[in-house]
Amino acid sequence: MLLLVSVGLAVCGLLCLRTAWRLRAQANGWRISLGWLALLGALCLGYASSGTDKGVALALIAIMLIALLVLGRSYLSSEIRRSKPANRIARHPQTERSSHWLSGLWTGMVMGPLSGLASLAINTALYDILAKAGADPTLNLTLVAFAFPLVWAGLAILSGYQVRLWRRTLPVLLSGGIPLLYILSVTLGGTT
Amino acid sequence: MTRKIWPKSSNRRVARSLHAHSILGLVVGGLIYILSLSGTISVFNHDLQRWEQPGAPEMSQISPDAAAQAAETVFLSEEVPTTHLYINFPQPDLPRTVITTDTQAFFANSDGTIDQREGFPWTQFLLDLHYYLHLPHVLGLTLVGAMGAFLVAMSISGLMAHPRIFRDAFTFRRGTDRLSLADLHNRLSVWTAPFHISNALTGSILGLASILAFAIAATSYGGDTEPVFSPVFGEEPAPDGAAAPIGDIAAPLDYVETNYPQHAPTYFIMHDPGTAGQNSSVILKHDDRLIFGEYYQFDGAGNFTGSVGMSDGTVGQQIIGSVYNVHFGNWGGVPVKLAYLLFGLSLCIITASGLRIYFARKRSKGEALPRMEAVWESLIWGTPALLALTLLLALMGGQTLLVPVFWLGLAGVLVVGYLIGDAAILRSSLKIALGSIVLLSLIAHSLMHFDSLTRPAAWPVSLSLLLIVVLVGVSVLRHVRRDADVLVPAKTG
Repeated sequence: MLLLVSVGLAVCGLLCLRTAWRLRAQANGWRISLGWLALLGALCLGYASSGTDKGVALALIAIMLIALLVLGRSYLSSEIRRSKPANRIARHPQTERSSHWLSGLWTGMVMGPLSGLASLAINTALYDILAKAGADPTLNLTLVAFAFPLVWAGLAILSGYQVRLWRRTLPVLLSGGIPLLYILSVTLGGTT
Repeated sequence: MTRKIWPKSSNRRVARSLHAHSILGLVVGGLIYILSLSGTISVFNHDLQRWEQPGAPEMSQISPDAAAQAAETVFLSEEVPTTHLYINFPQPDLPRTVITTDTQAFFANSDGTIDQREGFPWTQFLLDLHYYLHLPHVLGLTLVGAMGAFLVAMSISGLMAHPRIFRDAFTFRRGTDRLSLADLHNRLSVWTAPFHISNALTGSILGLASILAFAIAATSYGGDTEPVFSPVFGEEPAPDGAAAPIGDIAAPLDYVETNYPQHAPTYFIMHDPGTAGQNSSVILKHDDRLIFGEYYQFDGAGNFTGSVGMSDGTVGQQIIGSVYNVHFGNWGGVPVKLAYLLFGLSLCIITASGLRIYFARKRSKGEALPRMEAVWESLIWGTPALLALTLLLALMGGQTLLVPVFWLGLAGVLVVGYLIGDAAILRSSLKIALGSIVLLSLIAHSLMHFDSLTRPAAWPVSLSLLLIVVLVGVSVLRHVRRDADVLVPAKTG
C-alpha cells in the first residue's frame, strides 16, 4: 500500500516538474519545490514500505520508469521534424585525418592507465593511513572500493577538460606521485 | 520584464565538459557498448541457463537430506579431491538443485539422486564476455572495471556538458535529424542516470577489487590479500589437510531451516571437504534487503559457529554485500529484472546515439567521416548479430568456437564496415542478419527440445526471441520505407 502511494507521489512530482520546466518563468518556483518534495516523499515512502536499501531502490526505479513514460508521451505528442536532405551535408566527405594520433594516444594514456594508477595510489595510501589511524577495516575497504573508480573518473574528466597536453598530464602525475612516494616509503621502510 | 530562473551556464564549462565527454566516448565507446549489451542480456542469465537445458529436473525446494545425499554422491565420484563442494539451491528464477565441485557440476533430483551434467555454454560465454571480455581473469576484470570508471566519467561529464539540464528535462523532439538524436541521448541519459551511474560504479567496484586488494595487501599486509577481505566476508579457518570422512552436510541445512525459516538457502559451501579442517557455510537470502545473502558458518561436525554480518554487521559489510545485487538486478524478481532490461537497453541506446551525434556534427561541419560512421554502425548491429550467431553455434554443439567466432567475426564485420563505408546499408544488412540468425536459433532449439517447448524453462526465452525477430523485422521495414520516402522526392526533384 505504501509503495503504491509512493508511486502516486512520484507521478505527481514528475508531472509537477514537467509543468514547471515547460512554463520556464520564475513564478514556477513553488511548482519546482513541490515536484522535488513529492519525489523525496516517494523515496521516503519506499524506505518505509520495503526497508532501508531495497525500498529506496524500488522507489528510485519507479521514478525512472514513470519519467521514461512521461518522456515517451512527450515524444509521441510532438510534431515529426523533417530531416534536412542528406546529400546537402554529406556532399563534402573529408579524408579522415590522423595527424594528431600521437597526441590522441597520449591523451588516452593519461585518461586511462595513468589516471587509473594515480587513483590506485591515492586509495591504497588512503587505506593505509586510515588503517593506521584505527579506522574500522570494513568501512575503510568500502570507502576506498567506492573511491577508486570515482577518483579515476574524476581525474579522467579533469584531464579531458584541459586543452593543452601538459595541463592534461600534470594534475594526474602530481595526484598519483605524492601517494606513490608515501607507498614507497611504507613498503621500503618495512612498516606494516 | 520577467527574470529567468535558469542561471546562464558557462559556455567554457559546457564546451570543455563536452570535449572531455567526446574524448572518452571516442576512446572507449565501443567496449562500453559491448559491455552494456552483454550486461543487459546477462540480467536474464538464469532464464537463459534454463532455456539451454529445458529438460533438467526442476523443483521449488529440496529437503536437507536429499541435498546432502546428492552432494555426497558427487563428492565421492571425484577422482581428484575437490577443494570446495557447493550446493546451489532452487530459486524462483532457477528452480534447480545443482551440485558443483572444482571440476564438474550435476543436477540433483528432489529425491537426492543425480541427474544429467549441468552445461550452459552460451550463457557462460555471455557471462565471461561481460565479466572478463574473454581475457585472463584478473586482466579482464580490471579492464571491465576500468570501463565502469570511464562510464561514470562519461555520465558526469555528460551532465556537466548539458547547458539546460532541467529546462529541457522533458523536451523530446521527433524526427531523424541531429537534434532529435541529441534529445534521445540527453533525455535518456538524465532520467536513467541513477541506474547507469550506480551500475557503472558497482561494476567498476567488482572489476577493480582484485588489483585494489593486491595494492593494499602489498602496502599494508606484506602481500597477503586475506586480511583485506576477511573483515567483510569472514575468515576461513586454518586448513588441516589430514584425511577425514566428509563432514555433515544435512546438519547445517537442518539448522538453518529450523532457526531461520523466513530465509531461503541459496548456496551451501563446504571448504576442504574430506579433510580434518573442513567447515561449511550456508548462504541465506534476505528478501527485504539488497545484500546477496548472509553467511551462516558451521564447523566440520555441522555445529553453528556464527554469522558473518552481511545483514546486520557494520555499515561497510552491508554496503559491500549489496554491490553485486545492485549491479545484476537480481533483488526484486521479474519486475526489477524487466526494469533493468529497459534501463540497460537505454544505456545501449545512449552509447550508440552518442557517437552517432558526433558523426552527425562532423557531417554538418562538412567534415564527414563516412567510413568511421560505418564502422560504428557495424559495431552497434554487428555485436548482437554475432551474439546470435554464437547462440546458434552453441546449440549446434560448437562450444569451443564461440570466443573466436565472436571476436574474429566482430573484427571482420568492422573491416567490412570500413570498406563498404555506408552506414545505412550496414545497419539494414546486419539487422536482417540478426533477425534471421535469431529465428534460426529459435527453430534449432525448438527442434532439439521439442518435448520441452511448453515448459516454463523454455517458452519465456523462446517467446522473447520471437519478439526480437518481429521487432527487428518491423525496424528493417520502417527503414526501407523511410529510405524510399527520402529517395522519391530526390529523384523527382
